[in-house]
Amino acid sequence: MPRPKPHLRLLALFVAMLLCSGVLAGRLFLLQVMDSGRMSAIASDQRLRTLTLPAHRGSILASDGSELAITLETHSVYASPREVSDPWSVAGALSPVLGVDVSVLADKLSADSGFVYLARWLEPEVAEKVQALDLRGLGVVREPKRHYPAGTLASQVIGFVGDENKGLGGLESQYDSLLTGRPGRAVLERDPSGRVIPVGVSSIEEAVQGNDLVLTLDRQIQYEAEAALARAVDRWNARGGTIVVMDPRTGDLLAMANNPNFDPNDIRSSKASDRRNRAVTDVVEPGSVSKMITAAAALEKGVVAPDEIMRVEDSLRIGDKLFTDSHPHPALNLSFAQVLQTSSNVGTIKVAERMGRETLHEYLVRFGFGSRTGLGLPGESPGILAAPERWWRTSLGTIAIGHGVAVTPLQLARSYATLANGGTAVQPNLIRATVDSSGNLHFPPSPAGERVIEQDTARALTAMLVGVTESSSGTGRAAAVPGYHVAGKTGTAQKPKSGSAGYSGYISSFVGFAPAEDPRLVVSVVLDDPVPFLSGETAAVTFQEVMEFSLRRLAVERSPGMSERSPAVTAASAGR
Amino acid sequence: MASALVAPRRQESVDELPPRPELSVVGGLRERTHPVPGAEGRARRRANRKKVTHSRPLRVTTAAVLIACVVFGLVLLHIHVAQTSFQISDLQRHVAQMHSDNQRLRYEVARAESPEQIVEMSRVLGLVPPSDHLRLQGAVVPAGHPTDQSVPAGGSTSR
Repeated sequence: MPRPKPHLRLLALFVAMLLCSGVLAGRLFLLQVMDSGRMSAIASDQRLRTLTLPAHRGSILASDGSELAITLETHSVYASPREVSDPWSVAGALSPVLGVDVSVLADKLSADSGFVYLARWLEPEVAEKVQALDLRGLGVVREPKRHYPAGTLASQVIGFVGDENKGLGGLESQYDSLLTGRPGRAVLERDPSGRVIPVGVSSIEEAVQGNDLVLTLDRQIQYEAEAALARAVDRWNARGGTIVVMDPRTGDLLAMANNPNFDPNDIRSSKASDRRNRAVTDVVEPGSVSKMITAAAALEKGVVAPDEIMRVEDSLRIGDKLFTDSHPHPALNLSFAQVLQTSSNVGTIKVAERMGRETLHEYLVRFGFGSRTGLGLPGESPGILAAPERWWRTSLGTIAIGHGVAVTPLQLARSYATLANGGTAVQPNLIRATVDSSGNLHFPPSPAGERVIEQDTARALTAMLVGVTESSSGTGRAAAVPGYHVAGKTGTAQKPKSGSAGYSGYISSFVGFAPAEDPRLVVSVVLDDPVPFLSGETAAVTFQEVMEFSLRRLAVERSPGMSERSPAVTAASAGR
Repeated sequence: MASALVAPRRQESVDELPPRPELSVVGGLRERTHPVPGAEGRARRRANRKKVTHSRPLRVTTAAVLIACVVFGLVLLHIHVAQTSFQISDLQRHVAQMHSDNQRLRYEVARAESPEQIVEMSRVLGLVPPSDHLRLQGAVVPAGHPTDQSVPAGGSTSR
């Protein structure tokens, strides 16, 4: 048979190559032209990753810039149980590192689940040890965790967050959106190992970090208030109490202490009742403390003068109710100033009757009773003040001496701040400034206060209240602070029974301000059921401790003419 | 010896060939003293052909080298961009880690400075709250200062 000529072999090879090329070309055409859209999408799906860039939660700072609440990055260990071949062996290796019982870990690792947390919010060192074990099916993820470095300090004011770092109480809840910020978004191209392809597609929308809150709270005054409150509760077997310290010129709250307290770093160990901010949520009958408002209304309306002499018996009958003074005494000729200093119920009611229910109600409202303070804290109560048309025959007498009306300790402090501020109402405030993600400071607006009483009335009333702490017959001599004129009022009120008629226990309170001639601080102390119950022996003492510390802390000048051994000091020492 | 750049002739029969001319010695090459019409042009064209023949490879080589340099440069640039991107990513990770460390340090400072910690440390060190407080009145002036008012010892203080 003749051999094929060389050129035919070449031709055959050429045709074969042409066919192969044609097939490849055809396939390429199908993939890159006809199916390009679908292929492109699949490729993008494989390469492109969309990540959420978490926003860092803002910190809460005290007035001196120290952190009261801060978010730290922690590490959480998770497992994919379906990828763990030997749960008990893995649990045995992890237990000493995580400090969790082997059986607890083994149970989690044996679960029929694709994901389970083994331990959350660990220190970086612990996470590194877990990673060093290099166990299959285990991983470490970073999680933010809120920390409160000052522990229980101002815990009810600051509040707390839940597991997802969402505010659940206090300022954490009130300013949650401001603190949270806005998460960002990143679209990145990654290789099969998960590394970002440098020159690939990338689109980043940066997260907007949360704002920081700078509070008006003074750490040291807050600590002293809480310590003094704890001493008072312990010393007089009280159920609890609150202390509020405020600057009457600006409304800035320097301290807001509550007892009992809780640690926001360990929410699960605390009771819900301990977590509420009693200074704004709990209402009490103010008792004689609110006689200041009755006196202010009477002086402002001119129905009485401070030195007007009145005949004051130890009891007064109105309708079917008999009002009495705290102690029996014969009928006395007292000035109205003395009526206030001795906290005579009868004298106060007689003056209240001169002005009538509408006038008394008007001034109670103007001093802030029956409405929220505007602070905005969660759970704040407006208190209880009935409209005058709903008052009974005896309500005028009852309300004039601080019963039949309910207020929060913060409302009490604000009413005295109005007096201390020369008769102009002041808005309580906890936020000094906010700091945005660019570091810019923003100050909240300071609304102008409404004038409640004239300055002359305020001055006259202040002088009368100084007598409460300095005169020999004053009920608040224990509240006197060496070197300063203190104006204030004691209050002892019976507590209504909850859920039934009648009373059980007492609320002891003292509210005052100093220095009286140029007030810098208002302090409100309310104790729940102390023994003894008289506020002159309990709340007034605690007031003195807190006021003295706070005045010294702020380096306030002593009152002119006052020495450390002033008669007020002598009287105060004798009265304790 | 001049090379015969002529196509080989078809071999003819001896009978067809013309008679061979008588050979004679030809004199040496004479310099041309008179220009031959068209010779200059021919010479120039010969020279140009030589030039063209020699410059084309050079240009091709040069172009190839340039293109190679550009491509190489682009590759280097991409490498540099990629390396820089990795460096940026590393730095960003580093910054994030520094931020996290800074937060942790701020937390430690806040904890150490908290009133509760200070009171506890004071107790451990044996410090106690003061039983009394000293207040100074008037300006405190160094002794010998021109404005020294010579305040009597003990007279300006109160306990």
